Amino acid sequence: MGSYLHSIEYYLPENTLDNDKLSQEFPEWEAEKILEKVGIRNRHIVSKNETALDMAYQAAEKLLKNFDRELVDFVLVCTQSPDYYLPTGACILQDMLKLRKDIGAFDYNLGCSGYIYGLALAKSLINSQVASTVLLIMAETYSKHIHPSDKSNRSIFGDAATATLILSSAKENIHEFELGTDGKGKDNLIVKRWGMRNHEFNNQDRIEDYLYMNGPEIFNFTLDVVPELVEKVLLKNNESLDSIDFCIFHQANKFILEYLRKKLKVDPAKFYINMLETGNTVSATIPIALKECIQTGLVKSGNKVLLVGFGVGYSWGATIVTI
Amino acid sequence: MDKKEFYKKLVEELDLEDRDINENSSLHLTSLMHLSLMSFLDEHFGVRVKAIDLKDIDSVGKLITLIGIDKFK
Repeated sequence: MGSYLHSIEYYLPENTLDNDKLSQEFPEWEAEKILEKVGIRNRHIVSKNETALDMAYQAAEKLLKNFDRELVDFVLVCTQSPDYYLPTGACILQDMLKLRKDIGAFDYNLGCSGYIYGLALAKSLINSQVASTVLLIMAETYSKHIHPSDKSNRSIFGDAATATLILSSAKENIHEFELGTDGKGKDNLIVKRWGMRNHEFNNQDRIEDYLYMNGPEIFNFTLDVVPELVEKVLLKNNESLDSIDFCIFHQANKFILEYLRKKLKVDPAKFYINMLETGNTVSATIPIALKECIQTGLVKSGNKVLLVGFGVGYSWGATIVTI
Repeated sequence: MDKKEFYKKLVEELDLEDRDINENSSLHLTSLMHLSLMSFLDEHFGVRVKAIDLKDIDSVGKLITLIGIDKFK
């Protein structure tokens, strides 16, 4: 089993910022000097209402014009300019591109190393047979992070999106990786605004800018998706609810969990519901619950455990792990 | 399910103050009640409704119409 780069497309926004325009705004900088200093003559900059995801869509549409989109079975989006804090842009893109629903999709937050990491992820997904056709998106609008008076950064950064297809193959064409990380450099390239580190509630803030959840519709989504998800993952693994030792679902809330348990006819003795001391900790509920179950002996070594996650996006997934 | 049984179960499910309800009884549904009602309708009638469908439900009669009169004995 191997993987290879099948095709690449890119999209650049229509609006441009050339050195002459920059020079008009900053008369102390001559257009030619900018070119000489940074080696850039022009940048493409998104318009006010255009986002990284809009660009991602354009790039992906270009790519999928000559490729059967029904074959795409995983979407990875690398961006540090997401349309929203949540849901993940890759979920929105799945819908925009009318891709299949039985596929995986998520964003990851990296900058200039993003493509290398994306290839590593795509290769891993293919070699582990989780996916066979990965749509890898890079989409960035640093222009939205840069203050209008910051002439240096405005002269350097442009906006763009790319779309790459990575497919499975008999021979490996994406070779070994070397990756590196050092968080000590965090202060040297950072956007502090809007991050939770500097987040303070302000009475002037609009409520619609904060988290909103339509509980009843989330409940409906859960009922639509989770029973079928469980059925499919059991089938894929040649297992049944009887042969599974324990079930750990995302601890959304007691009401939903109890309802799903009844609907799926799972024995309460092997269905975990406990968010008493933690509440719904979003992506952390499953690992927290798993650790609790192992610590308390509800799950023992050798047990087969069904893990089921579902929520914002919408996004969902399930697997079976042997402890 | 017949209507008498429905009224009884609905009172229990929504923990209604008025224990003796009929088609003409009014309903004041809170958002928490929406969830209970949605699961109740799915479980007992196999009916899936959207939150928006429940917005205008202010009486037991309207709820019966939403479920579908054919679902009752």
